[in-house]
Amino acid sequence: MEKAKKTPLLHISRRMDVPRWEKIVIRVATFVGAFVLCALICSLFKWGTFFNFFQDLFGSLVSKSASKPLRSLINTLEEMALLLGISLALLPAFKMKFWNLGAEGQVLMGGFMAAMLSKFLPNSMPTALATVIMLVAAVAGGAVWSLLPAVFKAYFNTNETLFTLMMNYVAMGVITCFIRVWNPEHGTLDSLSTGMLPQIGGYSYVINIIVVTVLVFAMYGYLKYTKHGFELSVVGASRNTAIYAGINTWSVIIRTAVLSGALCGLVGWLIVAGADQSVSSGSAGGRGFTGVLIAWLGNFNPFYMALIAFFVAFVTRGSSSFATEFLGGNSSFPKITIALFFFAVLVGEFFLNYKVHINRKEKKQALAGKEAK
Amino acid sequence: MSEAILELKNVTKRFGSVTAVDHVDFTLNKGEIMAILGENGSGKTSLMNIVDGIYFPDEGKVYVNGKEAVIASPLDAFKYHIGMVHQHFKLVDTFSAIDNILLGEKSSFSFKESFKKYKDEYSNSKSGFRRVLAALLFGLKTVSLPFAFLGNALHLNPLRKNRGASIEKIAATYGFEINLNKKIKDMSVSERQTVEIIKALYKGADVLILDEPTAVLTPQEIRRLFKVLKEMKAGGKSIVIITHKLNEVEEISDRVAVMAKGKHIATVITKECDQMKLTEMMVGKKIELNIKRSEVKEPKLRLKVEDLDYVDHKGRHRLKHINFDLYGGEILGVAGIAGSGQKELLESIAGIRKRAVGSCLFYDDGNIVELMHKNPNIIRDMGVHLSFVPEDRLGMGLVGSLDLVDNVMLRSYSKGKGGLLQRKKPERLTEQIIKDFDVKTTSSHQQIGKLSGGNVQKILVGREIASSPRVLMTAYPVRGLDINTSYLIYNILDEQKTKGVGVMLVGEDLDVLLALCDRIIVMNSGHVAGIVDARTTTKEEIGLLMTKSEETPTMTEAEAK
Repeated sequence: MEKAKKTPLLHISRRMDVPRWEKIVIRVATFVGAFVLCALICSLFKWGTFFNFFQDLFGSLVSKSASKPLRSLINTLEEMALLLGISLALLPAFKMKFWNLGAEGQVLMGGFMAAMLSKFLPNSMPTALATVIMLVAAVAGGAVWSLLPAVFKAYFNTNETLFTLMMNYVAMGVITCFIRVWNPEHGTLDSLSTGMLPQIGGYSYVINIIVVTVLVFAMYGYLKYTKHGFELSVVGASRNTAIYAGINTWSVIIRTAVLSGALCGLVGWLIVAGADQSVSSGSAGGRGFTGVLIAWLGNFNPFYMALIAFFVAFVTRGSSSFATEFLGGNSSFPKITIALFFFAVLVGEFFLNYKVHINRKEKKQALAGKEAK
Repeated sequence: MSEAILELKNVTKRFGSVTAVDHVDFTLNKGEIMAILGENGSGKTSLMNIVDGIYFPDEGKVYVNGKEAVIASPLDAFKYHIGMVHQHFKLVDTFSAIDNILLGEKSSFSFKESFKKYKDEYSNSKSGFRRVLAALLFGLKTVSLPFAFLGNALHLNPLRKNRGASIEKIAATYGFEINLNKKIKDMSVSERQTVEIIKALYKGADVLILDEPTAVLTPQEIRRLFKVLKEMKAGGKSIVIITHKLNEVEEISDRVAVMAKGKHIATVITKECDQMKLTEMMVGKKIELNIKRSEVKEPKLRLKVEDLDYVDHKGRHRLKHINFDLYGGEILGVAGIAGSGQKELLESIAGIRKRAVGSCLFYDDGNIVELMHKNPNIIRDMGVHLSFVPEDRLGMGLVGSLDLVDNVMLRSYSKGKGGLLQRKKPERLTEQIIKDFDVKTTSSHQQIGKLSGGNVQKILVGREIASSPRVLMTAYPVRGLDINTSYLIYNILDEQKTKGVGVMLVGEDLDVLLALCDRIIVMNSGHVAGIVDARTTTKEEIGLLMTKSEETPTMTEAEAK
């Protein structure tokens, strides 16, 4: 015998039926672990700030001004709503295994269309009408931006991942170009002249939150209870099966991708009309990519995605205020904590799906066998 | 008794909660052919994968020539002179047979020895100018040793002559008739299998394991393979053949180990056992091995296929001028080597292959409908009762990630007005199928991909029959199923036939086709080689039709262009 090979120490096997309580325990542990990890990083940057991080994290939900006690909470929810809206827009496309990475561009085009119309619509027009026109234009803008890759995918089977990704840069270029023409001194277009969304109860952003909340339920129902939702999940599972079942695959692909782009355009409208009141090439702020992660980590379940989106917004705002307080407003710091948060969620997913065994007994046996020789 | 060359003691392998191999003891003697018999999923292949080092056992020990062996990879297995031919061949399509066999050979380059060789050359050289030249050469060669090593490691020597000589010698010893310079992609299945066997022998295997070697071969090829195996046995090799076919066990093996549900049931000497007893051990109870074949009553024309032609998107001519009729009340078998166009034929009729041309008339009690150039949804909307159980169950017939109810409504979901799905009826139908076919599932909302192969097929067949078809097309409906479910499916097909349905059955087991069908279409590289009466023909006749070639493969390629 040349050499007795040891059995591997770690043995990973797939878990099939995980009980519900264990799932909840693992997920809660994941989130707590993520916060602790972030806090540890904080102490690394500045010694002794371990608990300050938690203070800032939860403090970001509580408003300091007495007149508007919900201000901070609504700000967090608003950030969550935008992220969630984009990931919900991506959801039908992802369910169809159409990897739409162009949310950033679709959102931008939606927002740009809204802002551009606001610039050209006459001021005499009633605000409600202007709002509706802007909304329709935004939805159309987003839809067109995803229609192109979808048509190529359906007819020529091109790779939608690369196509949609490149469309982001085209969108940014288009917007930068128009800003140069219309407003050369600034990096953004002028503030909206009409079509802003009104405040509700003295708070802005409330409409954004309401729209996205409705969208969560609508998307859940669309995917689960409609023929469209059924068709797109069959097309996603296997195009052969779809053809066998008599589904017109190319029309499903185009329809779903356009829906995805249109909803991205809707979010773009929310950003411009409901929050920023203007548009620049950075209006989407990377949310189009964060939305992809949220959809994946939320297991393509709208409600779980909402939870993840909330935590992302929560961690972002918490660590921003920590950065302002301790790190001189370092804007890279929230990015680090978000990355850690995503990483922790991924690790949690691993333990939800796999079990790690340690082969102690066999190792001992192998050692005993060696000694015998 | 002769000595044991390979011994497994108390071997166990688990996958999650499934125990694939459950405390199995197994002994292979020198110079014998041993069959491992068992149903699909009984752990035959898993057991042999442990011997070949693909799986590592959770418990138990492997002994080779009486000594304990740790086999953690196929490379280790070759160190112990064990070679395995898998059911799905592991060959590189674009390489020639020789390259495939030489692939993965360890380079035997040694710095020390090469240096010594160069030094000897130098010291043996003559004096004077030549010696200076030799010294120069010696220095150059020494400096370039690392490059020589690299070249050797990368096998940078494709032009080396007679590199296949030793391989050809092995092939000749055992009487393999094969051109080893042919590319794998140009080879037939049987030739590929031969290459795999030669590969194992070239690497010095004394123990050869064959996983279901006959599944893809014609009767003639099987006979040739068995002849070679017997020759190898005479040459002192030990052979394990995994199979679930009883007549092959009787024909070739000396002993047979029967497995069921991961457990080793018994090992018996083949001569002392009969088929009935073996089946009983394999299935765990006595079962009737007769396939019911009802007489054809009042045949009515159901399907008339005329001049059906299909060229796929890569330009390969898959179906060539197919003509046949299908009658209600008969089972029409379709036989042929795998990939002779059986799949394309059924899919063309079902409307899945859009490029198919020709005519396919569907007769439905007075109504005559042309099926060609129509999508499955158009065919369905015209009220044509055409059911199709495709070969690829979870890749075409069903969606593995959806639940049972969603799969049952896959072909009928678009019925009913409005954009919402109507799940009530499919739910009832699913419950009915589960009850009728005794489907083992936790509920009708279980993900179908989590069911076993037999239960998946029951749902698929159940759904297709539920639409009360006039024509039922099935492709390999019992592939991968246990014996009980297989016979259940045969009975269902016969029952449909007695109801006046025209049944088409693409099969791979000729014994079954001969016992179940009324007529058999034999396909051969895309055309109909003959239509025979299943009651009077023989396996040999069908085998000949399957392989007889009037045109060479090169011609079909030229045609494709």
